[in-house]
Amino acid sequence: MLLNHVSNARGVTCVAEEPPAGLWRASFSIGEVALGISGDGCQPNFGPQLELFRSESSTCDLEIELQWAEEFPDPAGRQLFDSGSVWTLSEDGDGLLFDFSSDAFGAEPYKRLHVDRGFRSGRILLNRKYFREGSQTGPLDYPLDELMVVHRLGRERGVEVHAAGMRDAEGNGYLFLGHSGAGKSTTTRLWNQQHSMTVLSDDRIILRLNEAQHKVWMYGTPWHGEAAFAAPEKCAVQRLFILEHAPDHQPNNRVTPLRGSEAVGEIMARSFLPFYDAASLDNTLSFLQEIVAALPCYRLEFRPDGSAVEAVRQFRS
Amino acid sequence: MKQEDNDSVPKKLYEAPKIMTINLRPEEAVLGNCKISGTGGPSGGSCVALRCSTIGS
Repeated sequence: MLLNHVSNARGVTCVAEEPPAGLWRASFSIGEVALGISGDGCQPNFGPQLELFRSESSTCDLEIELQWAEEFPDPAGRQLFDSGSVWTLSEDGDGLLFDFSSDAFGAEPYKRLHVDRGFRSGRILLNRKYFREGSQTGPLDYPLDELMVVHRLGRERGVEVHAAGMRDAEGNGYLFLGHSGAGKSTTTRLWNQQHSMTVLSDDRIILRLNEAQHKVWMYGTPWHGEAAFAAPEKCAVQRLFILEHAPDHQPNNRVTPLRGSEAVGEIMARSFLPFYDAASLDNTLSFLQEIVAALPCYRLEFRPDGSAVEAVRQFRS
Repeated sequence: MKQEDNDSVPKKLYEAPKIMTINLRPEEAVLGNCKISGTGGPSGGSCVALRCSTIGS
């Protein structure tokens, strides 16, 4: 697969030429991060959620080649990060190496990503010992696709947050950030029951800032939660809420303004970041400051019933 | 002129810097956990061919 490097406003991107016969190529756009993947043989199954985000673009931010391998030598460079679960990150010469391992398979990685430090091009190796070509395994399956997007966002002006986002019939965007169990999916269901809402996601939202309009935009992602909402749409955000369950002794919903560093800290605690990369963290922190300057932020202590919906809709700061 | 301007602007009360503790969920933040199995990442038993449909949420 030949790649031409061209410059655009966001830096260097890759433009892929039309693949020769016998090769396939697929591209996806998630939160305006364009991913391209190519290989030979049968095009793999990318899964119904990711397929919603398929695009026809030949211009991509990150272009990946899919290959098969039987040998996975230990990384030569030092380890940079261990997630404590599926994936680890090591230095790989001038680039980076992500290994994905699971007890479901064995000691060797079932998948490996080699990528340059700018996250512009790379290759995925699937372990031939564990998978056969044509199997249902998606090369971009969690958490690889999300990791690639998170790392691209760290180099741009964007961030992925643990959040539910939805738009009402009037076009108003509501964004609810929360840890697991905070009530994102519950909130999504409550709103959807009471009003005609377009839900971008009940679990993962990407934020970007339109500097000319001084507006924050949110984007749906394929990575849904329990309520299974995922839409390749975007919406301007009017208000941001940090979602928490109201204490048992508190009968009513409560909305409290958040300002400055407290708002930045609460958002950051609910963001997905490349924690090993100081430059990306710095970039994201300054971006979150811009978000907080552009967007009213609140803490919402909510009761898990319909009253929370009206409390938010009627709230006036 | 400058002294008069300074006198007319009310002074803000001094607020000492405060340290706030923000709770972070590291196991969620690093994209590692699976909600169904409660284990780190896809566990195979609850995911078809590693396609985890309920990633840590």
